[in-house]
Amino acid sequence: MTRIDIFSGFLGAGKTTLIKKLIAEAFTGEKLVLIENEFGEIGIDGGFMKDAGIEVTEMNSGCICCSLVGDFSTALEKVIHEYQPDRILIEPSGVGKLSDVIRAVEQVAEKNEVMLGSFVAVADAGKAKLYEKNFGEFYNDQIEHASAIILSRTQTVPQDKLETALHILRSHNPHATIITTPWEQLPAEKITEVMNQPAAIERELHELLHEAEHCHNHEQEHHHGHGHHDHDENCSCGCHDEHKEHDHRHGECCCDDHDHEHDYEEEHHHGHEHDHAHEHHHEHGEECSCGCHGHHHADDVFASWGVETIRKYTAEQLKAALKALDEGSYGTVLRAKGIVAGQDGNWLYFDHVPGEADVRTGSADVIGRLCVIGAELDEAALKTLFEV
Amino acid sequence: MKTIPVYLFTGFLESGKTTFIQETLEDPRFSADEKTLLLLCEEGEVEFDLSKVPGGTVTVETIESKDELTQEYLRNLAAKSHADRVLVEYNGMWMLSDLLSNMPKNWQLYQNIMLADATTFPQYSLNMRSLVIDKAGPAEMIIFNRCADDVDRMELHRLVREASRRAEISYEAPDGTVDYDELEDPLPFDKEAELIKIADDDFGLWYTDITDNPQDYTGKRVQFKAQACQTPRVPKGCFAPGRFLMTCCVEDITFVGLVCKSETAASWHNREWITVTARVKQEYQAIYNGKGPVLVAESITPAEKAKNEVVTPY
Repeated sequence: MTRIDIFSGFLGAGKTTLIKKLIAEAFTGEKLVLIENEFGEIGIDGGFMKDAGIEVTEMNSGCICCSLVGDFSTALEKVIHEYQPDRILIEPSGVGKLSDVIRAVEQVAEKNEVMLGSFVAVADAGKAKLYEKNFGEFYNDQIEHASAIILSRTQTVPQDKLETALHILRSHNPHATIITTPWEQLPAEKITEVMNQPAAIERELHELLHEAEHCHNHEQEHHHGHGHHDHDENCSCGCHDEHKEHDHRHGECCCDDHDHEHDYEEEHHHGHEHDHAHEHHHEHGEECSCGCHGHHHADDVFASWGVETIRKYTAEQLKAALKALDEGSYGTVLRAKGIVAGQDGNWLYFDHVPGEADVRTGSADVIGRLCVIGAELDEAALKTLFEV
Repeated sequence: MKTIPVYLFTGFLESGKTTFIQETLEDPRFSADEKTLLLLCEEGEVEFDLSKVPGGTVTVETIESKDELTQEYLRNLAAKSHADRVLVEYNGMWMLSDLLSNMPKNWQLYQNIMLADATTFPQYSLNMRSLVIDKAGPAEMIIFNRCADDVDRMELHRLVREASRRAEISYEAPDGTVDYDELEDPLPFDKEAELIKIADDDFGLWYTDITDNPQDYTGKRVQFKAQACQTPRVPKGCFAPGRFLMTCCVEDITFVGLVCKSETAASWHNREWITVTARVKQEYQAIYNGKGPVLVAESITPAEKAKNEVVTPY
């Protein structure tokens, strides 16, 4: 079955560079077709695509004054039937709306054997504020409808500006995976892994569907739409390590409501943590990257605090912070876990249970994140402690 | 009511408008004792430093949305600031007509300069051509900045000339040195010929030239291929031969034609291909909203349809 991935992003965001990296490193051996909908990009890269044996189809309706949808569906269907590729990469015009492209692809998917893959928005890390305001019609639409937001040029942008960018992007899209780590530090498989999180994609589809139905009961529908993902093995929760660990223990995704019983059968203390952690994520959903929605049976006793961060730490800093968690002034901390960038270029993975903290180095991840679980957590104090 | 000169600065986001306006305001020849109203229609990265303006006063007003561009609102801003003149840093995504058709009657466009970043202009131009043509078309000068050695100036020249044959072009290198574009762009037809013959594909270019420079054609004879158009908007005994013109893409194809007087005017069907030979004069026509080139036909004959049915203005 043909899989369709969309790589949107404003003019000059770096869409082509990303696509080239993924073609060279992650999609090797696949039969690919690239549908190019932005003028002036392909001329530069024609040679590369030819060398890689990739079909390139250019569309002539990419400019700002054109309506996209009609022609686009026809061209896409033609590509599907003519080449029967493993994967179609769509690079829409930078001055087009991602939601329009998604809608067109969905129309095609209704009638053809294709699978909707990732809806990526590539965004220049230094331009978020400027573009949000001035190119909002396209830029914000791309960000809001993306299942993964991949920041470009993060290495050249000062820390505070990058933080502003992250904040702006999150305010437009609370659920998408965001990649802030410079691309050259990430293996392409890592990028495709996070951009393939199916829950986020399904959510996107539901959202568009509801938009189309003029559904005003957004909040309820939203949660409803997520319900079934919770049973999915490939849960989109940003805290991957917890999943894996959890999966091992329960053989199921951590987000599964039905864990509940098992948890009690298991070591009581631990089970509780995890279960409630995720429930509470939703109450603090604004700051947390977890995509697992649909849990409504909140527990009033346990709370979680989670935050994405681009801040760089030293192992000593983390150890000191984790030690401080035991002091009691941050609430009753049961567990803390995270993956963050280290100041020396390594990535630091940490794990904390009361009285015991482990900080180790690991491979680069797409964005730093911190999770703390406990009772009566003082979020402001935690923010200060971790300097986020 | 006194006339208020308007200095308009256009260009996309990050094209260097603010920097250019700042430098202009800092010039003591420009800022002696004038009261300036500076309208900011775009919020970019660079901010103004008005402490460096040598003389006069500068009142800055921000226009958040093009809906604010109304005669009344703009008149009030000018009155409030007692402005002698207005500088506009325009929004790259708004059409010029949003401003020009909503200016108070006593505001008069004195200067229209477009700024462009040489490194992004080709890509922006290809993907937002309608906006480029809108801004570059009427601009008197287009200033390309960030023009390092590796910038293809011929490409920039070509992209501008697609929008405007008139605009002066200058290239500013990162070190501040400025070169003026002196490339000639001869028209593909001879305006001095006894009979000016227009090739089928050059109709758009000729149409642009005759509407921009009608005086060049007064009294001259032209011959061109066109499609007939019957419209009640031209007087009796007239019709409008013309062509379908595409500026940017299929979405913007429009029919453009000129008023043509002929004894056989009424006999030509809509879209019928014809060869027109006519003498040009300047005359008031309602369809032009004023004086414009009117063709007095010498002969009109049926013709084969042109190979490319749609023409471009360049």
